[in-house]
Parts: sequence; structure tokens; C-alpha cells
Amino acid sequence: MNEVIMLVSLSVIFGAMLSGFATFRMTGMRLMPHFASLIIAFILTLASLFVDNNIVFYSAIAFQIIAPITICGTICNILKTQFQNTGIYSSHLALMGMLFILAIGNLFI
Amino acid sequence: MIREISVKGLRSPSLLVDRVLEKMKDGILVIETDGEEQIKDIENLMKKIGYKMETDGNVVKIMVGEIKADKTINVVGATCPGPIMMVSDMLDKMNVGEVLEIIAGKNALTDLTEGLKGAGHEVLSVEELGDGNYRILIKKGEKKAEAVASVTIDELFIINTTGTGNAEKAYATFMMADIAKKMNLKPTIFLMMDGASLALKGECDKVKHPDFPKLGDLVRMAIKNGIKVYVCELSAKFRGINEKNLEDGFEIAGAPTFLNYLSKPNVRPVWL
Repeated sequence: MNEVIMLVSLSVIFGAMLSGFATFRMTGMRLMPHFASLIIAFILTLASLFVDNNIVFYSAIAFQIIAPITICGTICNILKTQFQNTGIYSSHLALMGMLFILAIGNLFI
Repeated sequence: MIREISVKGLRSPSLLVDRVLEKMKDGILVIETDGEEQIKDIENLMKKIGYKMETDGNVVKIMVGEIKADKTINVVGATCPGPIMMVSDMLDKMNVGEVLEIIAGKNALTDLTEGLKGAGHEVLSVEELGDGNYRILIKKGEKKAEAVASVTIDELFIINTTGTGNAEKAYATFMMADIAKKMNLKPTIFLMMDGASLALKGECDKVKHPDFPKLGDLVRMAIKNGIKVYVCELSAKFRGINEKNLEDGFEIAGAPTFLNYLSKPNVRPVWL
């Protein structure tokens, strides 16, 4: 129930959404499950800052963990076949990596 | 032995060709013709006597018996640029007019035929062997300096280096090829570096911009329209793309094919 970590998570998700839009446009507008889970994570994280409810809190964390996982399939393919383009995705990837650790931190700290 | 004759202006070139062939035991007969009608006449004769022939524009080549090569080289298994380097080294040591026999895999076929043609050598024959490899006969030639004259650009060489990582450029590659075809500019696509990712089976089907048809459909249409799509062998290898997971209609080629296109005066390269 650490509000500071939750606020940091929210800022990371917001940043990830913006950098995600850039990659989304670049790659021909695919990545739908990842896109959806990131937006849901943003809404739930924002809600958990204002609503004192365990269900909202845990589902926000669940989606913070699910969002980075849903990118795995696509990013593995990109790393395998288009690695010279990965510079473009690196900011988004960095934020996704941070989000995953923050979510776990939120759960145990 | 290579014999060259001209049958230009003859109504029945097959009569002359038949007489010449009677005296030849082995080798290649290169015939310069006027065009289609004469080629047809020679083709009918070949059907009767059973010799193999190849047509290259207005020139017909007839293979008589087994051609004896002066030297032989086997480049099966070598990856680009290995084959062309090995063959070039060998050709350097040979005299003009001598014949070199090359045994090569399918991956090096286009590179060798296109690359060596560009270097001024003559491809005498390309034969598929039973084991999936090819036997190429090359006659060593000399690169002639061509006089610079005004040249009409009638071919586009579209080079994609970004692949599906940049969907807009991927779309542009195939759309430009399609438009070039409609404008009677012969398009050829070369995918290299990240561009090679477009050659992975099913990869193009994942890209769909709401305002355009699926990229995979554009690719299939381009192939159906006879647009050649080459994939750089080294880039493909870097990305785990091989003959098994290569998109249908794409062809693996290498640096010699790429440079051969870039060195043609009538070709305009377009980098994407």
C-alpha cells in the first residue's frame, strides 16, 4: 500500500504509454493485447491512488506485471529479426522493465 | 570448344545450323539470330536432334555433348561473399577464353551468374544436378570499357534496410515497386540488414495499417506481377532466415547481385 511507489508506477506507465504510441505507429499498428493491458494498468493504478480498495490495488499490480509480459512475444521477434531498429524501442522497453520491478516492489514493500 | 556463327538474314537458319552441328563433336555453338522467327526454326531442329539450347535475347546457345572445362571449383556450402571470392581468385589465374566449371549451392547461384556476368565473363550454361546443387560453366572474358553515352533509366532497384520495424518503409517498398511496374520501370527489390525480416514467412501478414491493404497481400501481389525480391544472404543468416522459413517467391542473393545492380547505368537505386 505504498502510495509513493504507486505514484512512481503511474508515471512510468504514463511514460510507457507515450513511448508505446511511437513504437505502435512504427511497427504498423500491431501489439493489441499489450496495448490494451497497458491502458488497463494505467486506469487501475490511477484508481488505486484515490480508492482505498484491495481489489483495485491488487488488480493494478496484476496488470502492471501482465503488461510487460504481453510484449515478450513481439519483442523477442524484434530482437531476433530487427535488432538494428531496437534503438527506437529502447525507451519503451526500459520503462516496461522498470514497471515490472516496481510492481513486485509494490507487492512486498 | 566454343564456335560462334551468325545466321542473320537467313530464311531457314536451321539448314546452316544442322551442317555446322554435324561437324562438331563437343562444345557450344553460339548463334547470332535476327529474332523470334529464326529462334523458332532452330528450336524445331533441336527438338528433332535432341540437343539442349538456351536463348539469351537474340543469341542462341546449343550444347553439343559434354563441354570440357579447363578447371573445376566446388563452392558448395560457402556463404556469401565466399563463392564469388573463390571463383574470382580462380578466374584471375586463368586465360581469357578458358572454361571454368563451378559446382555451387542454390544460395550462390544468382550471385555467381549475375556477378560474373557483370565482371565481363560469359555464363555458358547452368545445369541443375540431382543433389540440389548446380553446375555452372563460365568462359573467362575481359571487362570492356564502355563508352559513356546518354542512358535511359528503365529499372528501379529498391533497397529496404528497415523491414517490419518500420512499417511505413515496408509499405513504401512494395507500393513503389507496384507503381514502377505500372510506369514501365522494371522494379527489383533487395532486402538487406533489418529489411531481411520481411522475408520471414508470415512476417508481412502481421503488418496492417488501417488505410492500406495487409502488407502480406501487397507482397504476394508483387510476386504475382513478376517483381523480383532478393534477400541478402548474410542478413538472412543473422536473423535465422533460411530456405525453410523464407516467404514464397523470395530469393536469397548476396553482395555480387546487389553490386551488379548498382553498377548498371540504366538502374536507379532507391534506398529505404
